[in-house]
Amino acid sequence: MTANIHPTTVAQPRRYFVNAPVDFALIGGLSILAFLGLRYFTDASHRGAVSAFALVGMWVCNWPHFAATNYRLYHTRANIQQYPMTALVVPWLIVVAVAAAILYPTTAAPYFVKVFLIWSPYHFSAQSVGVTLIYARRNGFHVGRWDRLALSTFIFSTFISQTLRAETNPERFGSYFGIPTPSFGLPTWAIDVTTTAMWIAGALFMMRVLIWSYQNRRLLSGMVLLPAVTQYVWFVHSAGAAGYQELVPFFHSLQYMFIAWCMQLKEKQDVRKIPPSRRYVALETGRWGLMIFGLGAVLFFLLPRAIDSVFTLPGPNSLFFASGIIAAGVQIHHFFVDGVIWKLKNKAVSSPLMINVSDLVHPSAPPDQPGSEAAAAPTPSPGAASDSRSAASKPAANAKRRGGKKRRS
Amino acid sequence: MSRPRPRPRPRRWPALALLWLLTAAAPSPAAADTGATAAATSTPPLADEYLVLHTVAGDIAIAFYPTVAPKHVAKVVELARLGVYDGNHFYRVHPNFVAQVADSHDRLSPLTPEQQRALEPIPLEVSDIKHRVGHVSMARNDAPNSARSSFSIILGDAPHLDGKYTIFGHVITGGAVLDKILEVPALPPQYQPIARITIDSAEVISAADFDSDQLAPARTVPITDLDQGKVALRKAQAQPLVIYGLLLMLIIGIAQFALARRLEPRKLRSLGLVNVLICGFLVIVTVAPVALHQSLDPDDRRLIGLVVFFGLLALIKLMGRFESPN
Repeated sequence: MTANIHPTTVAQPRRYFVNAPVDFALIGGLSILAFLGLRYFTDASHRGAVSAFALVGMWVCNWPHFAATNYRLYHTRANIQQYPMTALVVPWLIVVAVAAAILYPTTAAPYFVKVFLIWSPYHFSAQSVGVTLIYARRNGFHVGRWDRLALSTFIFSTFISQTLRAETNPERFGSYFGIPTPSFGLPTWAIDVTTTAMWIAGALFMMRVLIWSYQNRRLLSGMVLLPAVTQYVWFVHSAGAAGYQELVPFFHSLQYMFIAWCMQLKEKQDVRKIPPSRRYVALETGRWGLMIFGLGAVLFFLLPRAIDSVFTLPGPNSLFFASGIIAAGVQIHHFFVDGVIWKLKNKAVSSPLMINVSDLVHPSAPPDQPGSEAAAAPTPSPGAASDSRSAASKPAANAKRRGGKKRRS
Repeated sequence: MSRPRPRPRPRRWPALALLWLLTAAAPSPAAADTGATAAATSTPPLADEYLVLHTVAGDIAIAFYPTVAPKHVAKVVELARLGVYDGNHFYRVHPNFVAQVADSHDRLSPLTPEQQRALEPIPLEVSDIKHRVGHVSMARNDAPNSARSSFSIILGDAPHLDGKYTIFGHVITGGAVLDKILEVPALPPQYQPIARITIDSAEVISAADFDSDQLAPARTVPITDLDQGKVALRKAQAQPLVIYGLLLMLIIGIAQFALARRLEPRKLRSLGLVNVLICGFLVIVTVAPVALHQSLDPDDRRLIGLVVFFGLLALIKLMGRFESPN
């Protein structure tokens, strides 16, 4: 139980949550391999198998990842008190929107779903930026304001260019659980503009990476670039592999669950002062996994059925309609909640996004000793990418502002 | 492309010719049975291959005019053999005018690289053949040599197209199928059918092997609840929803005012964002249908669509500031 048992774990920055292969696989490597596999080794005849896998993935990963967000915000009163508007007002707003969609199935429902369908890839992109920032920090790569602008422009342009592509024909309707969604009928030149912006921003960011590598005499870890590459595959190339688009939400959820799992283990251990052990990791993983699996099933499977049985919903396939509206509502709620849960503060918990799971298994010195890199600055968060300023720059800006006021007074 | 040969006569031809004689005086789009009208005029030599479109409404057979539009015929045959038309659909069914096959990018599955390479522009090949019922005319953009894959079956005489678009064949069998296609309600101004009239596959068959009795008969195009939902969406009136939305905004605004001294700034700002979100949603609900599905100038529609789309993105980004301390 002393620091000299694992002295290297303290001295070395924690580049991975678990280790290189596991982090690589879960953050995006698996999804890229799946893309390559589907692209080059399967054809349209395998579509059914891919859909079946996506369905299983939805139950075991996608739904639980939404539930994990809710669990994290609502499982303690202290969390709710930190963000009461998000915790208590937003759900009612969503309830009103869901009610409007049910009451106005031809007016409100299509646009409610449309808002969700645009917000969802935006959320994916924000997470990709956030995960990049986490690994950049773990690898000592400082992402400045302009770097972040280039990174965000590249990542967000991947989804915007593809969304624009699907929105150019005003006569083309999409369908989400049988709810028709209209197209915006956008001009095709907008696709060229965003695609060009994507490549320019990507090139600028890569140039920055190369300069950094030259200055530091070492190559930047591929983990820093992996989320952006993954995002590029998800949005720009996913149509090139049969059924791959169905799997993208699964891989997004996998990425999310991996980080949320590490945070959950770290927080609970710190709050309850549980000594590191394999037993703790295994038991808490099981408990937390079951909890969010059950909550996911309640939100996406039972809730639509309950609403369908209680209310008179439009259309002959009202359960289908209810499933679509509830799924959109739960996910929009998730987008709101995700914006705050990574900012939740608990004095007992130290840098949960910078941990390595080995810290939770083996006794070691705390990684965030005074003066250490991890303790010196706040950690970026996967869901905080939608903020205009970097997470790391905010406290500095606040301190500056406070200092400025002091001087004025 | 195969060498032209004397016109082969499909088995139904006498009946269709008789039908044309009956309908020539007042051609109706439905009964305007296709090849009858077109072929009864001075018909150029036909190719020894036919194009058969296997659609959800049944099969349509088209004969080619290789001497009139050799490049178009060769390209359409090539595209059909590559499967470019498979999964495409009739995106426009304008009674008394045209039934138009969509651009190939509107297929159910994406084009393969080989198919994309084949979609090169086809030079215009105008002739003195008139756009009459049953003719098959290549669609194009404003540029004369911009035709790629989309073509139309003419459902009513269209003299304003004569000399401007390439006619490369006529329908020899499939009048009843076109009747079924015309049964699907199509909404102006684009006359997009409310149900997707999919071309499951397109096949090039030699005239020797062609047997019209082997073709799939005409059948009713299924119209789903989703299709009906699309129609309802276009006709939907947003006023009641807007009124309730404004009422909700008013209540939140009053609450914001009443609680101004009690709530901390970040909560007040969040209430403001709730109002912005509701307001943005109401704008989308009211503006989008008007801007995108009415008889506006296409450029105006695209511009408004662009503003709505990026406005929505801005709204989403703004929601990232929800309950933000700064």
